[in-house]
Amino acid sequence: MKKVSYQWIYPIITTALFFSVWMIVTTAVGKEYIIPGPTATFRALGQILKSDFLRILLSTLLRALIAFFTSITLAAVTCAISVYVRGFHKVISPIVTFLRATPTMSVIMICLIWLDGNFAPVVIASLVLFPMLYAAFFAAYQGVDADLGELATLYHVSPLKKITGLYIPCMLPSVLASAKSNIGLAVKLTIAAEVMSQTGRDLGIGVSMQMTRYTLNTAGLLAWTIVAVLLAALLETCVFLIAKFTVKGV
Amino acid sequence: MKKTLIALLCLLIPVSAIGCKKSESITVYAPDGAPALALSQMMSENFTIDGYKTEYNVVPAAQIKDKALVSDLAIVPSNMASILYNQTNGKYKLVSVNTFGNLYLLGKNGTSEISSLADLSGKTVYLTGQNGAPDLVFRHLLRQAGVFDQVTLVYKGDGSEIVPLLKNGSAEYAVLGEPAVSQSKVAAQTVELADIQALWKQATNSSVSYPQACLIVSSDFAQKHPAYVKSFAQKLQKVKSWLGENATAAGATLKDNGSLLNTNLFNASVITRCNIDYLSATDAKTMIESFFGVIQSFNPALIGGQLPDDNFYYQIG
Repeated sequence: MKKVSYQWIYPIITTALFFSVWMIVTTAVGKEYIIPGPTATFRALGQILKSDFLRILLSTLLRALIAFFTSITLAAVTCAISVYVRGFHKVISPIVTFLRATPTMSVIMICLIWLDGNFAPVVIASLVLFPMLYAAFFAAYQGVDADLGELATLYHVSPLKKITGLYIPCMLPSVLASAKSNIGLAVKLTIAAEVMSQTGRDLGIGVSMQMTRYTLNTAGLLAWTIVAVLLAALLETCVFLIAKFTVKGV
Repeated sequence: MKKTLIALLCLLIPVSAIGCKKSESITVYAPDGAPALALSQMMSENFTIDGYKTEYNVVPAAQIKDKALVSDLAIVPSNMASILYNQTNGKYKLVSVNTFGNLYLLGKNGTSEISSLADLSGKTVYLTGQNGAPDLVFRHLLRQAGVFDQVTLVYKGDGSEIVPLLKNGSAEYAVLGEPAVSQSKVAAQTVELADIQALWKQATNSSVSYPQACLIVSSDFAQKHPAYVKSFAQKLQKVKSWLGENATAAGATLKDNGSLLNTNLFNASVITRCNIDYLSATDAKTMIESFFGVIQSFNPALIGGQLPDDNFYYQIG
């Protein structure tokens, strides 16, 4: 007899629990401007969708994607140099460690002194993402079986073939796994930087969030948060799908 | 056993603190900067009335909205008063307008002379706080001058971030509030190109400037303690003349209550340029509504969606 699966019940329980706790807290506090209920939040979401939503969304998406691809390219190039130039990794790793240890908030504040608000989020997100992606690339390289590399050299496999046939396929799974988590982070960083940077006449989710905060529109703030979570989830799913179709077992 | 006892004792501490409270404790907040001067006399004299204990706090301007939500009385930008009123369904009301503008347009010495705002076309102007009162006032003036779309506006957190940019030449024009204006004249050799208050009067064809900051009161508090609000407001009426004679004390007292500014900059002439005065909510209604109308034309959300109704204007009883 086939065992009946009740797996579908768990998301329903989670959702029900989430919404009931939310409603209880809202009612208990009794101030919609401090904790707005689900109704107010979804009404605010509706209003957001009616406004200049697409352009705001695309502005943030564009900044996040530019940041993500800049840092991933930079990480790939730096990693390649580290592989081919002896000692380069040793020179660069203290810098990477330093960047990794720098609090995100200080990166944001320092960049805002130097750069204008429209461009700063891109630089900020790139600077925070780069060390993580570099570390992921280098770890992936080190994870490639050294014997296989030696074997390839022994059999006079051309360097190009070695890269496309051995290193890239072996490194791809872990690089893509790290890309998946970092692309969501790119969105979060961009928004944080947008909030701080008062981007003037430019648009962005962070700019809109700052506005809702300023006008005590807490329901709007929650609504934009939902948008941000969905955007990050969407991008992570995209990377996941790319990974699924390019390599098996990610 | 011992642990339980300690835990119980810990619980007792806050309880006993509440038990000790004899007089009504009142919390007053003001944003750091010129608008806080409105409360300086009360702070320096530790003003309160019998049976009440009044605590004055000067907090960074960016925090004032959050603090206003836990205050009995607070000085806030006037559009924030409207936001608070509209978003909380009337939990905060306007008592009086207390700052009538402390803004000035500055330029780099020698290279940046302009004869009217229209000359700013194609230029970049630095200012503080996007969507704050200074920003909205200046945007309206640019719009009236017909150059709104030709001027690039760059926003910084506060005046102290802009003065260095004027000094090293990366900023040519800026709109600053006193005391940062006087500071930049000394530190960055800037020249004053325009008095924003005068430009506002010209642009709006009126004899009064704009209501920059005001005093709000929590409706619950006002209902329970109308006598306190009344004597507080009466005291505020006299602050202008007090400031004229006690400039040094005014600065020092802001510092004592939490200001992070270089309050030595508040000398008599600088304080005059801050335009601190008093106008009761009911007397200021016309002025407020015309100012809110301007803000509404940029974005209604900046006054909380709509013009506040008559209940917004607290009547001192």
